[in-house]
Amino acid sequence: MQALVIDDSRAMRLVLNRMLVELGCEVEEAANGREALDRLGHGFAPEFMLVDWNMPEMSGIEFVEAVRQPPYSSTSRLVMVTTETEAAQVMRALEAGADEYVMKPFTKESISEKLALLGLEP
Amino acid sequence: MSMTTIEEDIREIARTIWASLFELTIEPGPDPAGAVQAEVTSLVHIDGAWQGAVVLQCEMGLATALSQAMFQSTDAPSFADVCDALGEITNMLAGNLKALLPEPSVLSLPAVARGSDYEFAVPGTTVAATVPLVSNGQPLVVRLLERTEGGGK
Repeated sequence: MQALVIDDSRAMRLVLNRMLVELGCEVEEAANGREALDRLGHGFAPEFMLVDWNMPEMSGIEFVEAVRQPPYSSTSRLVMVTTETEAAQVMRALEAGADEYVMKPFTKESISEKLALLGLEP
Repeated sequence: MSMTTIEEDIREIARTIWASLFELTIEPGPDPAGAVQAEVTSLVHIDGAWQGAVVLQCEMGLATALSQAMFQSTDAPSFADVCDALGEITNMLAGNLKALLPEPSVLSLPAVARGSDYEFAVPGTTVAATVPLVSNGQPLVVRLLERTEGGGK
């Protein structure tokens, strides 16, 4: 199962990459939403993406809004990985096209549970 | 805001972050005044219904250990990697604290400084909470700074 981790923090990308590999995923990384859109624009179609919220250049919510619209129209599952807990913000992400969200700090188990909720069993 | 409660909250949030990211201990520390030589300062602003900042300060030895733990490397981390690791830890502290403060509000991107001879201030704020901690035998301190009425930006 292919995954794309989108986070401006190299440390967090590494932590998420490690956990997803342990869960049996093949993982690619992007440092921000714009870089992720470039990957998708070149035909990369992961089963799911883990998207940080607070990023420079293009925030996670801007990425979610963009990726669900043409020309991308991605059907990949989108999981926000965030410290954002405000209900209004979470609702905004879900309305924009996110499928789930994981709170930071997270564990491998909490990531696995969210993927299972989405029917993604690595 | 109850000082005791917010300080307990900060300790609990820190314990949760450490448990999820590191194989390092974190325990309450002694009186923070002067206990931590702030060789690294990491800050995230909170802006909105509640205004202020979360500040994490520690010595370079601990910053190095935390960075190595996040990157799972025994090599000496670059300052970019220290900024990345400390900034992300502070972001998690601030995000989880923000949930306990008046909403709506947003977080800034982290800022990280290092050095041995500098003073640090966020104008217009006062210290709402100071939480000394010890990780891996090395001290760190987390402060919650609250913008006071009339504090200029």
